[in-house]
Amino acid sequence: MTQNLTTAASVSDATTDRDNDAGKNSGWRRWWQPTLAVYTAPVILFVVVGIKLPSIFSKSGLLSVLVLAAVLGIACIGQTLAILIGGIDLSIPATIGLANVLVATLTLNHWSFPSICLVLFGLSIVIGVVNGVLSSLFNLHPLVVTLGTGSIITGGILEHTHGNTGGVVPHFIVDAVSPVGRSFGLPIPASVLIWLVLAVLVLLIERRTTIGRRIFALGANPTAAPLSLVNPVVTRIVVYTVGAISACISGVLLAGFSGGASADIGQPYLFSTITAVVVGGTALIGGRGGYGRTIAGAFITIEVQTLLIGLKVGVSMQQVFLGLIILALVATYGRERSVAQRI
Amino acid sequence: MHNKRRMQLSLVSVIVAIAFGVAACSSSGTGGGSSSGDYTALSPGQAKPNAAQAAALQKYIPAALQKSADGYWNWMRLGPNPYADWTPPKAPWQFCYSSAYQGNSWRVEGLDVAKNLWNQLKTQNLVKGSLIVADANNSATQQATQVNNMVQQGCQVIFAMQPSSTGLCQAYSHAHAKGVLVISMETGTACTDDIQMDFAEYAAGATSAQWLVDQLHGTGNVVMCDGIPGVAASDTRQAAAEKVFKDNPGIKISSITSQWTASTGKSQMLQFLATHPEKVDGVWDGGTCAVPAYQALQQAGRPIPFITGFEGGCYWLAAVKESGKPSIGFPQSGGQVTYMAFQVALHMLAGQKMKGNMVLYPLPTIDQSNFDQYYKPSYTINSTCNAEPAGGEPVSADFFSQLFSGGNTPAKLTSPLLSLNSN
Repeated sequence: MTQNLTTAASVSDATTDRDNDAGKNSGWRRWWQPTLAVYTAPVILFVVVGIKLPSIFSKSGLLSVLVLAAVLGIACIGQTLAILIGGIDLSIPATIGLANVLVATLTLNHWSFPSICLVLFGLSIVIGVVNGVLSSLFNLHPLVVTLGTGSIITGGILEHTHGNTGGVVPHFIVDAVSPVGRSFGLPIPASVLIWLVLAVLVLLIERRTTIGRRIFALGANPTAAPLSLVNPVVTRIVVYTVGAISACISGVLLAGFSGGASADIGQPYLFSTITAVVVGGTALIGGRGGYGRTIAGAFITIEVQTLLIGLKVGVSMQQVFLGLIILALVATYGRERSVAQRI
Repeated sequence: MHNKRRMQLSLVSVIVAIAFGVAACSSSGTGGGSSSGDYTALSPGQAKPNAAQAAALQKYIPAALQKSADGYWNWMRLGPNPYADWTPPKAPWQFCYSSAYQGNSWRVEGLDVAKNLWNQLKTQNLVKGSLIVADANNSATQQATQVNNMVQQGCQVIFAMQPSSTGLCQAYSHAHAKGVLVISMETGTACTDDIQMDFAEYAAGATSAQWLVDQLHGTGNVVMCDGIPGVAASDTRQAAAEKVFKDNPGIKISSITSQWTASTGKSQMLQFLATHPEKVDGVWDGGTCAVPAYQALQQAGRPIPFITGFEGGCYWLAAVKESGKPSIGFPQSGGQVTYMAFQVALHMLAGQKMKGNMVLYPLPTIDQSNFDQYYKPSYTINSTCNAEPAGGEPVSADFFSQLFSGGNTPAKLTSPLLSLNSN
């Protein structure tokens, strides 16, 4: 099995950063690799924002950007993995809304925070199993399955609460997403630390574990992957469960962010999670990319929004510029060779 | 030869399709009413009324209520009462409630109050059956179908809660033709077969903006936190505030948008503050943004400026109390909307007539002078309730006598609005 996996994983290896050492390139191309562009883009963009709007370098400016990127970055974990296996997860906004409403309403009913986390963990497994099983066994496209799951979740929230989604948000959650929040005595909001820990975990799982290699193998070639003893059903269940868990964490953090709850609170995260993943350079067809790139994509997304707001660009024009910048970035480093061309 | 014939057939098909399309667009665009030309045009963002809009205001709105109708052209078409020749059915009536969406506590409160009001009428044997309720889940097509179904089910009055501005005109036209009274609540529409009812959105936006200008003595940096671009009510409030600020050149405005979602409002405000080191002297709220803006300013370590409110939520009252900074807002609950719609329906069912197709009612103001009448110590920044008018009624006693004439005395609701919500 290990040998088979190695064969399948060779596809993923070929698709990650290592293939940037293609010897054919010369001159500036040797230095301006697409992967390098992905990771330098947020830095360059941040410098541009700083030159135009120096106040971004203030403590509150930096922490505001970090907190916003953290909430988005955590929600993107599931979207990245779903896209890596050649799928997509449209149930993320609904799952964010589910966690958001449950943490507020259950706290109002005197549930302890650990009990709420257990409930959310259980529900995440249910969501992951439903998404994974339906998109595997019935050969349904994940887009349809996750859209349906999301609709069921939102409908379930509204049916259960009769639209009365308000409640109480524990104060430590409010602190976790406040730019002036502290953790372990340090002036760093807990949401940023949570993102850091999760990012390290996801990157390790992606690159150093069997399930990580299975994810890339399944995305690179869904037909060949089962021949390499990759179980598509189990892999998809794991991916969509992780996606639901990450969406729940974002939903809980957003409860502190807005001081209230709403079933629709996750809606902006449908577009922004996909944007961050695509801008990061993870291929929508699967098998190529990774969460490291998505981290860069999340920073780019937040920085572009901040720049446009800072330049007092109107709301409608913000959408136009955001689209143009995304196209420009993807055109710059989204022209990597396909898997077939690399092997 | 065959190709030529096929091309001719294709051409005819295209022409027929275009003809159907034009007919359909023409029908929906004009509201399906035969006299749609009598109604003024929608003019979003227009600062002053054109001649036709000014004339319609004089013709169809009583002089005492014209102040509340200021800016109506931003989101409503004004014209003659489509139910001028309507013969109201005799009691007991079948009431129906079609909501575009029921997914938030504001909408839930609206429906809860509607059920309560219906029960009050039931005890007087004025309504029959049960209150038929439908939720369209934000789909105009679905809501149009539901309205059509309600007509078939024998509904005599249909309350449409925040329907889409367009897309339901054919359904309203069908209902109107069947003698069913349709009242669109909390929005204007492009249709001409319904009674359009809303609070004075434009006047409220202008009032809060003027309050801010007065607090700042006409000078300062103001952040406008707009609602959802493209939504008539949001654009109307924004247009009203912009006009006030432009009339005061000492006010420098910047804009963010909350999308009427607290978390988005806070994100946008944090990003604004991160990139704007200059002092923020005031924040104008176009809806759902006062508290997120307050939290963002607080967490960014900025001094708390004057922040206007809008919908008078209990969470806003708690934030005003906490900050100690004066503010302005309006008691504008979902329950208030349905209460006003029931009152309009009862007047029309009593045979009373109004000249126009539009009811725009003024909102009471919550400010420093009456803050304690609205605030309760139990309110927190997480409270989801809404303040109700301190006097118990959303409008003064003579509002309906100014709006309606003729007919009989309408049926009375036994409990005032204030007693229907237990905040």
